[in-house]
Amino acid sequence: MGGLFLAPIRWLGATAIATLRTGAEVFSLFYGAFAVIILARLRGFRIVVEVTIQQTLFTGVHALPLVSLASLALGSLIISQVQSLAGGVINTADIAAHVFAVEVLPLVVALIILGRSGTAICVELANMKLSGELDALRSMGVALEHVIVLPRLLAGLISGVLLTIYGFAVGLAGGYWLVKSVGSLPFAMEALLNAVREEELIKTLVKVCFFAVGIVLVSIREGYSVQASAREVPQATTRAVVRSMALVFVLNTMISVFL
Amino acid sequence: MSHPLIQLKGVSTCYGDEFILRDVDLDLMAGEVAAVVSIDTSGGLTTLLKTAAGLKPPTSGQVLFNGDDVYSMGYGADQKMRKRVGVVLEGGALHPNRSVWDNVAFPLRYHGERRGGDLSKTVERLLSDCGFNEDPKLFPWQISARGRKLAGLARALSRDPEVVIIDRFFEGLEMPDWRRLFELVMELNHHQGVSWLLISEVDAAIFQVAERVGVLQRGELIGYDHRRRLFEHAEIREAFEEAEAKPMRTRTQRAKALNLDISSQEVSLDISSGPLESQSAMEGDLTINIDGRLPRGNLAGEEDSALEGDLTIDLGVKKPKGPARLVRNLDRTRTPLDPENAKPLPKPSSLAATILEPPTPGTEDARAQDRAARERQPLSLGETFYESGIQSAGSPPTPRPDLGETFYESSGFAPIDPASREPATPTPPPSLEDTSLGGGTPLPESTPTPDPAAGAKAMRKAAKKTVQAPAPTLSDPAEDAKGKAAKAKRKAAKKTVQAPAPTLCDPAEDAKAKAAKAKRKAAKKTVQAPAPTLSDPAEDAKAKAAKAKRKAAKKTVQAPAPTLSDPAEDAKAKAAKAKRKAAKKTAQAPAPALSDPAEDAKAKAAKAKRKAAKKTVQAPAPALSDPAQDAEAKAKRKAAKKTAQASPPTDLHDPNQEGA
Repeated sequence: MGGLFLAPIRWLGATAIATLRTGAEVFSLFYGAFAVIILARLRGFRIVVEVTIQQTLFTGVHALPLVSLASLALGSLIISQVQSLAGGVINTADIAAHVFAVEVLPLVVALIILGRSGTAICVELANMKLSGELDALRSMGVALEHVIVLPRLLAGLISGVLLTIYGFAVGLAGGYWLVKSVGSLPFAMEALLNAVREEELIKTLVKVCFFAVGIVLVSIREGYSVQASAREVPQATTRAVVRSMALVFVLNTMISVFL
Repeated sequence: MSHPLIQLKGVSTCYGDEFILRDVDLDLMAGEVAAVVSIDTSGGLTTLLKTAAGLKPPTSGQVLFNGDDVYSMGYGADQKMRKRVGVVLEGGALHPNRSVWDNVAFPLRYHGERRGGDLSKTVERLLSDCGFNEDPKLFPWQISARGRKLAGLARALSRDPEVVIIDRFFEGLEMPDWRRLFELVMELNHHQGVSWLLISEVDAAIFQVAERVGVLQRGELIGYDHRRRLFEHAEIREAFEEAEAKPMRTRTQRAKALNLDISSQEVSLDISSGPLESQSAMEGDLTINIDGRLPRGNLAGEEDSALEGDLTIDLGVKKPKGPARLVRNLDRTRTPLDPENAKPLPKPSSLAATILEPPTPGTEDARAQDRAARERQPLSLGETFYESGIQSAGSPPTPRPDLGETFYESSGFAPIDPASREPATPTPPPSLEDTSLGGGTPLPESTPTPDPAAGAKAMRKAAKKTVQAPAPTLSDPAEDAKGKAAKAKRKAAKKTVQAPAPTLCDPAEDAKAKAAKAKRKAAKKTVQAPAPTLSDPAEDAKAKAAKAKRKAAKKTVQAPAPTLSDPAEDAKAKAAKAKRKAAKKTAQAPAPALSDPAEDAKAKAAKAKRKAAKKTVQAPAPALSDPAQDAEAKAKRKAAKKTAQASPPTDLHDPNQEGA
């Protein structure tokens, strides 16, 4: 009886410890990535830049079509729905712009980064570990934080910010044009774009930066967690997706509340 | 005075509760070539490598590099240590998204040690030194596993390390690569003082490279000593002997099969006095027919007695004919013998075969002399660990029975009894008359067997075997003549066998059938031949007459075409057909309509009888009979009925009652 009573508490405790441990490892990766910049100085600078560019191309540029589609669809949906629900009562342009730019767009960008790049990073690193490439890099005196973590972190940040700005423009302008072509809107496009204040835009970008860093670090950490078997690779990828999504939702709520 | 570069002190590593390494103490001196081999499948080799290379911290114990703990170094010290230690992981561990060139250049580019043209030259030199001969612009997944290994080694050597740790690198390499890397290891060790730590499974070749060898068993280092002293441990020696008894895995091990000692035939053949020249030297079967005659074209002596005199063997002969086949593409160096000393002349590094003078019974045989001579020479790739490890250490020479036995088993000769110097189970040498040697099995006699079919079957089998046997190719005229005769016999037998079961028929009938067949063919040709339109009138007339005859015959007989030809046969056929028809009609007719009157009368009488009997039987009772008799009969029937109901059913068929 006592065991049954204590079991949920044990589970909660174990989960909390695991979460804290994961958080500590993720933070150590983040810390190591920026500490190695100081330690290595210009050593391997060109290689780091090369890897960063490659990762940015994959995470940012190659994600543009999907971000365009998602922003256009969600932007037009939000504008039309707000207009149909509260049209004539309140200023629907402000509400639509705020909801889309501050709340929806960062999540959309985060999910796209997670789905495309987070999983790819996790699988790549897991396979590199299984094939001994990570050990080979270390044996050559190459810090993994320098050529693995840092470029991906930088690429995630750059891609997240650029994708958010791009999605903001496409979602609001394209959504307005789409709704206008089908029905009628009582406000102009300028009103919609001007409705987003500067602090809201910064808030959006901060959210996206946190999301991108969290997604990349969690994916790297899960990729590193593979030990010996190829069977662990999909398991690690699933863990990376689930934990990244949880982290994104938690961070979204926290930033929305506290910022 | 050399100092330890890498030291493992009480290193233990465990995954969960399972120990992979347990209390391992190991040191690698500067300028030393050492190896660690595992004599069981419990593993721990890669873990040991990673632990020693500073890639995997141990659960307990210390790993020191130049006296400093590897796992508590700062970034700067760690970088210095990494520069001095090169690691080749299993399979090369190249980055798949970079070309081979980029992989090799990666450490140099990252650390900024080479740039521009210098970098290109360095990479090319490294790849060339390691024997990489594929396109370096290809990606690792586009090249062979061998290429990946070599590229991995080139990358590990790119920063001029002081220590190189290699994981299972020599496994699966072809002989030229093995030899190149062996020379590379030795050259870097001798000239640049590079220390090597080789991690490998049990491989006798390791003993040719490493000065000290550690033996890992169940995660424990049960021995780490000089190779000559290591085999003083019975456990290690047994483990290695077991490993040697396994099927040969590498070409180096396979080379030991060439250490032949055919003393039973008073011929000693030694093909291990130098390193192997090429990969192809290790391929092929070595089959020498030693039955007192030397295979022609291979063992070039003056005569058969050349076994006792000067003799030169050229193993470079390409696929010699006949049963004696030697290894192809071996070194063509001819090795003359010194007939006086019965010892091969010094021949430093060539793979050749030598036939020695037969050892004198009762004295120290040539085998021991040969071994002693080889022990004085430097180690070679073909030598086994027995020679380099056990026997050179002063222990009593271990016999090498298995090497010769393989040959004996394959050649049909018996191994030698060391005491008596005689074959243990003398096996007669294969005769050229045997089918296996192509001499040809004599065809079975054509005497009639009790069962003709069985005899024919046996004959076919024998003929088939004979046909499939290889033809005699030796150049002895007598044997050639025999072979030709056998060939002719085989051909005849083959033809006989291929004929459609002629042995099952009576010869007379066969002759008749053949004649009839020929006639039919002729008739068919005559019938099918188109009529000559512009030919001789006489022939036309003949043809017309023949046509008319055929028509008439066709109408009369309606027999198939072959029967038109012979009138006598036609007549016979007509008569036979008429008989068959008559018989058929007689059998099928309900009553002979136009037959003999007497028979008809008989048949009628019989029919009337049958009818009357039928009526009598079927009649229930006479309708107009006497009443008294009727009553009597009725009473009788009733009584009989009652009796029948009480009696068994067989009484119901009483003929008396029925008649009543």
